[in-house]
Amino acid sequence: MKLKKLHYVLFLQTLFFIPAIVFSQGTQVTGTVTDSSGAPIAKASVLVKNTTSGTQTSANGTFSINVPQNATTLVISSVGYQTQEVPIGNGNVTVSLESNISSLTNIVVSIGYGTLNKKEVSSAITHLSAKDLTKVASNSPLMSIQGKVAGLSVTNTAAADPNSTPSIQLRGVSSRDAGLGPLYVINGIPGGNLDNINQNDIESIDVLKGGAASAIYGTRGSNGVIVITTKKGTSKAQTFYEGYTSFDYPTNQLKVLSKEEFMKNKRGIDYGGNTNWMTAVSRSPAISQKHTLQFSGGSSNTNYLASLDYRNAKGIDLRSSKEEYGGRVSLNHNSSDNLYTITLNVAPRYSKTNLADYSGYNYALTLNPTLSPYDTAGKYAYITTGFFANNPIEAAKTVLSKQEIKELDMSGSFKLNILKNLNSTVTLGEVHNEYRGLFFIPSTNTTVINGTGRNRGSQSLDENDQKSFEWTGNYSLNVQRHSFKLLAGYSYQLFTSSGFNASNEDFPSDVLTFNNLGTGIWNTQEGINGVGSYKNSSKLIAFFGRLNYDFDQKYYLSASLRREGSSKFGINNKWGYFPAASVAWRIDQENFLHNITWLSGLKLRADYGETGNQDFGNYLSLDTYSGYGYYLFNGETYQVWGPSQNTNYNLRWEKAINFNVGLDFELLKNKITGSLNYYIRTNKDLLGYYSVPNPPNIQGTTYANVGTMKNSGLEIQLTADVLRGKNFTYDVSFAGATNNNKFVSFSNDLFKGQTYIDVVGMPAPGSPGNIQRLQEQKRIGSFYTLRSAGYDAFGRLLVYNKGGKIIPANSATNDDKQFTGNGLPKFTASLGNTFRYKNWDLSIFLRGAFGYDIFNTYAFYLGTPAAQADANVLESAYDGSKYSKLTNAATYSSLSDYFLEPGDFVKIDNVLLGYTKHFSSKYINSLRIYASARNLYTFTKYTGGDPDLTQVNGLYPGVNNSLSYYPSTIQLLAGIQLNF
Amino acid sequence: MIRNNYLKNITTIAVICTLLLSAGCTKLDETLYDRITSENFLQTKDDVTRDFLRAFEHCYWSIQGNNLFTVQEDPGDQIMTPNRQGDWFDGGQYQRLHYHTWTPNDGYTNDAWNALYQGVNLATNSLEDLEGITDPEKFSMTQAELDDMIAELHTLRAWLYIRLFDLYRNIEIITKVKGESQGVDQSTPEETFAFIEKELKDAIPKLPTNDDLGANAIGRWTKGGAAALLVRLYLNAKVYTGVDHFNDCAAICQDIIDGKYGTYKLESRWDAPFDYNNSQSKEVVFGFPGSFGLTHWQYTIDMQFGLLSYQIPRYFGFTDFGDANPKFGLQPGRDVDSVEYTFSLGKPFLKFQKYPDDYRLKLYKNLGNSKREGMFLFGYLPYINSSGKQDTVRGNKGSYPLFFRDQVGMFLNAKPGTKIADKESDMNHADHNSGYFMAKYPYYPSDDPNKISSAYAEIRLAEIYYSLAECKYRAGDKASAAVLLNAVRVRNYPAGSPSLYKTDGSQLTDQEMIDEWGREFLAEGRRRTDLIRWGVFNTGTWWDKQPDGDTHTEIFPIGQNVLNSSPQLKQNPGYN
Repeated sequence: MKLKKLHYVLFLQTLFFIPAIVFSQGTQVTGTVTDSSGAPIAKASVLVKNTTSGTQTSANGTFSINVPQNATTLVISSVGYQTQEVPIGNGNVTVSLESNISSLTNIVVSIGYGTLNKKEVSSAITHLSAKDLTKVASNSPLMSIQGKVAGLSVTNTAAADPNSTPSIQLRGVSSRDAGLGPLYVINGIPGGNLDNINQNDIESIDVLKGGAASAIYGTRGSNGVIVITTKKGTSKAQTFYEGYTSFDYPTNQLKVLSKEEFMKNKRGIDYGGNTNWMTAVSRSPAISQKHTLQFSGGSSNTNYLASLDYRNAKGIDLRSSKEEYGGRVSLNHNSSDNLYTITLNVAPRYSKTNLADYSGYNYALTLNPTLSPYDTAGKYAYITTGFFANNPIEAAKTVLSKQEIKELDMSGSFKLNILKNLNSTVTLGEVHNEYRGLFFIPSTNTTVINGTGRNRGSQSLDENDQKSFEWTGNYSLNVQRHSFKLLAGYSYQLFTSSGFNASNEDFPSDVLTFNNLGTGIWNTQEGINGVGSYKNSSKLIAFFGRLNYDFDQKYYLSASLRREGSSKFGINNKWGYFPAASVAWRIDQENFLHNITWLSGLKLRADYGETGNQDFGNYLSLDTYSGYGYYLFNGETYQVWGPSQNTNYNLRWEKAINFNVGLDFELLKNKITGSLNYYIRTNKDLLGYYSVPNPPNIQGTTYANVGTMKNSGLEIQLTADVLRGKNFTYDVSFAGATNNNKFVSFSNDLFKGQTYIDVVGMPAPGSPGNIQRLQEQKRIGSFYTLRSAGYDAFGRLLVYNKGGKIIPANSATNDDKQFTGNGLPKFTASLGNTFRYKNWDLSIFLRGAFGYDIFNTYAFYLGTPAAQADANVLESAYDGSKYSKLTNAATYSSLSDYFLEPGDFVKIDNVLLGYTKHFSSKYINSLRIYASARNLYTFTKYTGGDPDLTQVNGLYPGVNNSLSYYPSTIQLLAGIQLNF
Repeated sequence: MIRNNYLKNITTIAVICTLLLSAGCTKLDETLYDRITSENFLQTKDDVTRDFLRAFEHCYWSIQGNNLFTVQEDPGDQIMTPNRQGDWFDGGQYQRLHYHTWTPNDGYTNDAWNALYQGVNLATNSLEDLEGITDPEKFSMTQAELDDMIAELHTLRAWLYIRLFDLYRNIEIITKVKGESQGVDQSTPEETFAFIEKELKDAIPKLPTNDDLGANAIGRWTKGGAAALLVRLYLNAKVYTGVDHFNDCAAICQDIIDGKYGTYKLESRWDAPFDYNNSQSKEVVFGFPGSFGLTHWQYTIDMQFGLLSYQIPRYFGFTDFGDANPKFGLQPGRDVDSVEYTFSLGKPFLKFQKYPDDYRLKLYKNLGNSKREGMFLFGYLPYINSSGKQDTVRGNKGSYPLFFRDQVGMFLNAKPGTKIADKESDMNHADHNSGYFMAKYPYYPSDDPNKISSAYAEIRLAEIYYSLAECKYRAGDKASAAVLLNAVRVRNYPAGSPSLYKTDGSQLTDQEMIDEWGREFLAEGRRRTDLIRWGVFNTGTWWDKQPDGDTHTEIFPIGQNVLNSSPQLKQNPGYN
């Protein structure tokens, strides 16, 4: 009875911040409670073992308690951490609590403008902490969560390019033309710059999948919100170092004929050389390294974390590289009376890159293997014959294509604790980046020598700036078993883009490269304009509020509303409302479940939210005039000006209606935990250019809100402790998602007419037309081609015409095309296995996509004997495969499902072996060494190389409409981490 | 207690902030930096001029842009876009142009409509802007200057309507675009004919003559230009409406030749109307002004570089833009074994060779000092390469030198004169040796100050002579026809050449008339119209082309995408 009462008291303390109850007589014990990273844990419970005396820690993790003389042990506990008993010793105790993340009830989840304990969350949010991230040497921190979040599709068709950025798409494609990527909220600043984040600085990533969760971000919530929180300072002085080196080796290569095979099959003339072009254009291995140094410290009131990193990465092509260094300083300051908190974050980054030339691999595939990259004098050979003729080695070595990137993120906040349950925070943030593009092709390049004869140089500068001001207030109230949390806020963001470019030709010296553009005489001599500049801006303003309510920690309700407007919207539609509501029922808290011992947690959720998407260009609603070409009038040359677009004063956000039901569960004493989500998202008023009547519309298309798309799917996320021995553990995690997509309609009251558009034009040679059709009531990614009927005795491809008759493919017309396949995976899944034995850990991560077709573009252009002579072809042209049967050039350029292949694959995506040792030395706390292999092996029937190189995000999944590409690699990585 | 004070301050701050928010922080006007809206665009006379010229610039592009040159030439008997070893197959769409088997799903059926109507829209928009100026003095302009611009825009729009009428026949008449978002029903051919005729007749009195404008006449619609458009309308009226207007046509032609609409004069050199200084040529009735730096690309893409094989610019010594891309070539006169084809149409080079002393038959050659000779490109084309060595124009499918011939087939590196086993010669079976190329406008070498700076001669006085000759011929007056044709032709042959027609016109037949139109206006984007007017477009036979089953392909279908977005439109007959 007494114990129960104390719990109640403690519970109230937790809620109301009531200072510690003072107990009578005894020894004074003081101490600090931190998490494993050294960050203070506030409101942790400190109990004297076997007594009812207790207190809790302050905001900076410290406590002070009077204990009875005979007391020897304190019991420290806090939500989200494993309870720990510590000896009182000399009266000063420092405790580091291990987090207890496998438990549903103990995770702190960022929900946007605040955090909740995971048990309180009523919408679909996936939480990842730093240790869930894959160790991968990549340009983007998001490659570390590839496959880990059900429904979040992270793709990178050029993962080995040190400058590549992955495509991120949540729960299927959502727009026609507006951005498909989620909103990144980095340390509370919406619109954060992902490229300016060192993976090591990430504390946690929360993926807000459900509409109810993301609706608090209004017009930017439709594609989901990814909340990234970086590590914070600690009161304890700590230093961390990590360094790794990675080695990339091309893998899953497309195989072309060797010189002998080339000559045997009479593919072309023998020029006497013998070049393996694939090897010649590649660097193998490509070596990268990265070093991070973090240090943190301070006092209980003021602490900091500073992080520095340096990365030097090279691509497997001959040119690309990225060298970057960056830093992040995070300061937290609490006033001594806890009246206010000030935070400051500054993160600069500077990068220098050399950009890869993806066409180099196109040339490597197609160049005659008897050609040589060098002529008899040892100079670069001038190559004029081939599929597309160029000397890719010369291009990579002599053409300069660079970027210099400067990034600066700054934010600061001031939080005032007005009352103990009322606070207000003002946050200011700026995200700024500058890209300086540099290009030069010297006069000694053979294409220049044999072409215009002029060296060419150019520079460009693109600057993007985002300033934000946000003001929020939080209020909480507990009345008996009712708990209320209220949030209200205002947000103002200003976005500005500007830039210039300049180009010139015919410089006096190649030595100047792009650095002295004024010395070129081409522009002045020929009256050519080599200069341009631009500037545009937009504003976003919002008011928002949210109520979180629970009754008895059993029934939860959250409701939010954002009223938001954007300057980009048409004058008739500046402001919109974005409401959301969600409910949850913790069934495990009900008495009738208390006896079911195998079920330790069960929560049923349902949520509804309306979100928007406004990720499109500026000024699109307005009646703007722009400059076009030139015309002579009365002896003077004028630049002509006229309307640049059709006006659309009704232009507005894309609206998504999100519905989600979910179940969170813990089984067998937390041995198995997981979530199930089923969602239906309907995106209405899809933004994009829509074909309008011409005449009278001046442009053929108007940027308008037309179309409806529907995505639904089931997502499952599971973790299981399969084995938990003293020295050995084995954990499994699984993430799987289905995606049903339907392009519902393509007209509305105002814009009527077309029910489809043909998309994805396939390139020269042959330019055979569009390969996919976006049509009402169909899944996106639908291939719309001729239907093949095999081949005839002349080696011609046969197809069915619209009447069902079999005809040679070259005599078919566009009217004979039909739906023949689909490039959007129906199911994606990943499986993680983690083994730990004493100090060793091993993880094996598998990833796959299922139920879709890929158009084998390489086979189509280069995989048949009908491909043009004097250029190399793939081995498939002569290996007896179905592609080797198409010998006749007459049907070479006809698009059909003959080249569709199942894209299904399973990859051994990552294998990591690590060894960690803790020390009790004062010089070093822990050491970890690890080695990993990424993209180790792919199981697939697809013959066009690595299926990961074909994009499945976006509106046009399942086809590459270019032969230019960047090969995939196996990445071997070895690294070391030190804590001291 | 101290908290209460804070609270007070905070309340004050909060109130101030709220006031700020409600006033300033909810404004969502767009701040424009690099653009101007139509409301504040017109500030000066130069702005009015820029607005006026917008449609002109677009129309310049429309001579070849969006496949407009392609749809006028590829369905004819002179020019081809065959599948050259995988290049230019493009889903078979150009082959369907050749065979007259296009469908509304072929892109160019949309492209031509869209390009021309965008011109109509832009011209109408500029008209509305200019007609909205009530106080020209605000722009330091006279009402007369403004009226001239308005009349020129009406004429420019009429030129676009004639082309739409010619290609699609059943078209929308649009005279207002601002605030409009839906199209109108198609007019009957009679209504369209009457509308265009009235637009031109109304404009002529308000337009200047080329004499008024003097050296600045290039690029401007004048009385003579508008009258020449009436010539085009009347010459084809029978095709357009079933009612012939050859007499009206003849009358206007005669008036133009007689100088009633301004002073015009035929050039004495065949290439003068196309040369770098043609902006001052009295033969050019309407031309788009050229300039190497600023406007060359308006027609170099399809009309010039499209009529050359890859490396031919090297043969010219013109290296400024790199290599060309052979979208077009001349149809062959001979089969793979060099035997002349027996059909009467097509065979463009052989048609020239009928009069072997024609200066144009020579191989195109730059002679230095902005001079050239010849029009055709054939055989081996030698040039001095970058290492100073003698080289020869080659293709991109093998490094052997190309030998351009008046034949289509897979010759590859077979030496000229050797027989090849593969006898196939058709639109899907051509290599890069196949067909002659040509250059009507000169490509002077890169170091020549007058390289690529010709104006594009859209209407030449020669056309008025040929149109009048045709009217005379149709009226049975062959002698007058022969004299008119010879007036132009005399510059193609040496003095006293037997190639000139006898003055009694006895040599003139329908076939000779068709051939002579083809010789004078080869690759000027009008062959389709001429073949239709002469009634042979659907019935004729030429290389790899059999007669059509019916005449519905005289006009193009309205493209499927156009129909989709303008559902009030009715598809042209025969295409449903």
